[in-house]
Amino acid sequence: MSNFLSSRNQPNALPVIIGMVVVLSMLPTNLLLWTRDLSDLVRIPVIPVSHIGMMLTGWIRPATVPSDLSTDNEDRTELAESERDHYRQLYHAQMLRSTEFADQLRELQSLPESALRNPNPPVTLPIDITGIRASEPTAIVELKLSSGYVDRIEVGDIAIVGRDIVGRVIRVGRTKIDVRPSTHRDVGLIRSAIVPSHPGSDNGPPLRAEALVRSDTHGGLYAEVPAQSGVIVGDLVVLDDPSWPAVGLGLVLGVVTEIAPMDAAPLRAAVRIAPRRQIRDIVRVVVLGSSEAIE
Amino acid sequence: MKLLVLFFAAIFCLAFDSSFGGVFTLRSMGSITPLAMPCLIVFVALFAPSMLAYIATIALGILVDLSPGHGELLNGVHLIGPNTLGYFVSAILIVKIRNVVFRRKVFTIVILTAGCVVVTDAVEIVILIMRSLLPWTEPLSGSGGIAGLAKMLATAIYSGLLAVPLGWALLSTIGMWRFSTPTGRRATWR
Repeated sequence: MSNFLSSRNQPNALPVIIGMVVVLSMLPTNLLLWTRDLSDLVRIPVIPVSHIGMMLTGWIRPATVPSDLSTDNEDRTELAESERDHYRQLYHAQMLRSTEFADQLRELQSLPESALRNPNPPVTLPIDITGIRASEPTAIVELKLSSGYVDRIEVGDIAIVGRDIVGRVIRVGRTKIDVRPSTHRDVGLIRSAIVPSHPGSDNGPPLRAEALVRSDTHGGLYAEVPAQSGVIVGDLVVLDDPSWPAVGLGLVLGVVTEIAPMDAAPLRAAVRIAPRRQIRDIVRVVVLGSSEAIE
Repeated sequence: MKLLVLFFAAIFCLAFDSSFGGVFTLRSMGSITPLAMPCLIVFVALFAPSMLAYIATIALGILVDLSPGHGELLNGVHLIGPNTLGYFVSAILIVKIRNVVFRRKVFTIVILTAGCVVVTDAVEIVILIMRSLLPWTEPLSGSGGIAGLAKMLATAIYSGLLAVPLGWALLSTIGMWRFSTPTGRRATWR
């Protein structure tokens, strides 16, 4: 017998509720699209608290500095490093784009001049992370979205930190956007190029190999390259996928951490790639929007 | 039970689990992160009237299922059920045993919180297996096994540790919750 007053004489709706939940959990995905809007609604009171908490988190436990970047705090050194990274990214991007342009030159010559211009240059928007499942490195991340930016971000835009790609926008709601990390299992194949981390005459050709990269479902990436390609540990894997926004070409997907010969295909080698930055380790990211011109 | 207090506690726990709980993440041990919501579930199940406890845990479970990173399906769709039913089963078990435990001890909340995490994950696994057997859903994929089991147990233990300060805080504010007091002659608040 219960010792509590209010447990008696109540309509027993519990089995109905539980039955409904069980049915909901078994429905196919296309019948659960409404849960996205419901998630937006229930997150409204949570997002401010999450925002404050994430700011405190960034203060208490700041993001780790990648090992290949200098930790020198002198202003001149930081400025030189940032410029070096900037020009290195431009170099990779221009190299990849020039190769692609050479292949597409004939087709482009037949187009009108207006088609050669880029009417939608990207914009960079600071975004705050308000929801993340810290125990799952590849889980989808929720970002706060200010009302002024609603029309400036589209599905497919790239989220970056520095010059490292950390994910891609998969959904834009009224108050939040969802970003799927590059290492998520549903990302699929990404066309990329493997280049030396420090381009120069001493480090061989500027382009080691082209590869199709995919998630290894453990927070990293995986690719296969020709065994004689010369890829070494420490090489950078940069984006070279025409299905991604053009602004992302040349940005870094990760760094090569392991190369192993493949028994099943002796002429190829398996390459393990680790992202230098993960979205779970940071408080803010920048979304490279592509829907509106810079004013 | 004052629903307004539950509302604010739920918001805090949801925000903790879905965002700034990462401050406690053990990155060198497989990103083990403690959970705050199981502690709240245990607290409510220990002290609230049984029917109200069931309803509250179902509602909290739905909120968790709609949180980012939980119940992920394609295109940002959320799967309602794993945490909802997991918390509900946990609440049933706690309500069954709450008369024979020292419910006002933090240690009780610690143990039950760890158990709640284990039960919830077990229910979630059952649901995902059942779902994968249906013809209109994709077969179950992913790597779990021993590593997944170890991570789940570690998460349960870590959540139990988190329940020490969190359970103490909840017990300290028990007057604000306005739970119904036991009416039996021999019933006591232990």
